[in-house]
Amino acid sequence: MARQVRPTLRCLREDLGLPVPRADVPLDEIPHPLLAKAAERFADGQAGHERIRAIDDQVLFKVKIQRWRGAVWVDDDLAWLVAAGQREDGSPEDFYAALAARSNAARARYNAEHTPPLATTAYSGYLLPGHEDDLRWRAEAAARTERRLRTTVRNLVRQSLLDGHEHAVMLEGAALGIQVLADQGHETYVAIRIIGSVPRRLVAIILSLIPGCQADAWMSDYAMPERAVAPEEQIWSNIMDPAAAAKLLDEQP
Amino acid sequence: MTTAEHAPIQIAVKVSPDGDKLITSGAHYLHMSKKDLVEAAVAFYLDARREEMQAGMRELLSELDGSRASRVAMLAGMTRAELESVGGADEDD
Repeated sequence: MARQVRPTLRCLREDLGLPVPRADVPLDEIPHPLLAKAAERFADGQAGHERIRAIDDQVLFKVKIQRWRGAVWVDDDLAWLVAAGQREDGSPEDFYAALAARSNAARARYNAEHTPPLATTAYSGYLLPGHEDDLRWRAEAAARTERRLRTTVRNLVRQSLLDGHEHAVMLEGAALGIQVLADQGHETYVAIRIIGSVPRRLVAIILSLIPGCQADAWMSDYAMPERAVAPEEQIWSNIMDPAAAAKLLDEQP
Repeated sequence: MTTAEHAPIQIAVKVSPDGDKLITSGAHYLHMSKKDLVEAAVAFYLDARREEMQAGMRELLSELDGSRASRVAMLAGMTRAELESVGGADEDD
């Protein structure tokens, strides 16, 4: 399985000197020669890598290109660029020597504050991905999901506006169906049917993406006129502003 | 003459002995049949729970301000400040 290589946010900001992009840009797609080299070297989980020997508390690997030097930490199917710097002329291993010195100093600080002390000579744990990297990972996943949801919901509404029938897709492990009944000259009724175990916040996002509906007017139904609600099925309904419906139909899919 | 085929269909519902005692007692108290009490109680309970569900959904929807960032933050299960601290989200299209 091909591995992604992501920089930690600290490495991105402080070592590579790059701004943190919006969550719509996955960190493994940031254009940088060191990240590109790391992606090439660590794409194959079977390839051999050169370990940074001076770091003995974690297994960190070297990655080099041009004047750039980096340290890569591998976590299952994901590799992280956890530190980076530039080689100085006449000192080819300068970055790694400096990394070792920083890690030794970090060990001394760690041991001064913690019991029991570390038995290793280095402490590089502070470089590894942490809470903000987890937030970033989740934000990227959420940005992808939101984009997919938005497109899907608007397409389903558009299709149902055109023929009055329910249109449905499988989404995030659940079935999502949307039916819009446009009664000419009167109200436009919209019903959302979700079958499957989905988080309530996902339902809220779906409802919020239906155009022309008042957020506080969504009604939950426990039965349909012609049938009972199925297990793990939820139905929400609202009145849609006909102008918003017309506007959606005018938009390009 | 009334025949069985014209009688409304009745469906038996199994309840525990304690539940049956409660229904019987409640039906006597309210001067209702057990059948009418169960049907009314279920409808009342479902409406109450539906209102709970709707209120919960209204509360969640009130956290969304129409911006894409609010949707992304909710999907990710984080605050807007947390989302902004790790890059934020585009408001495009």
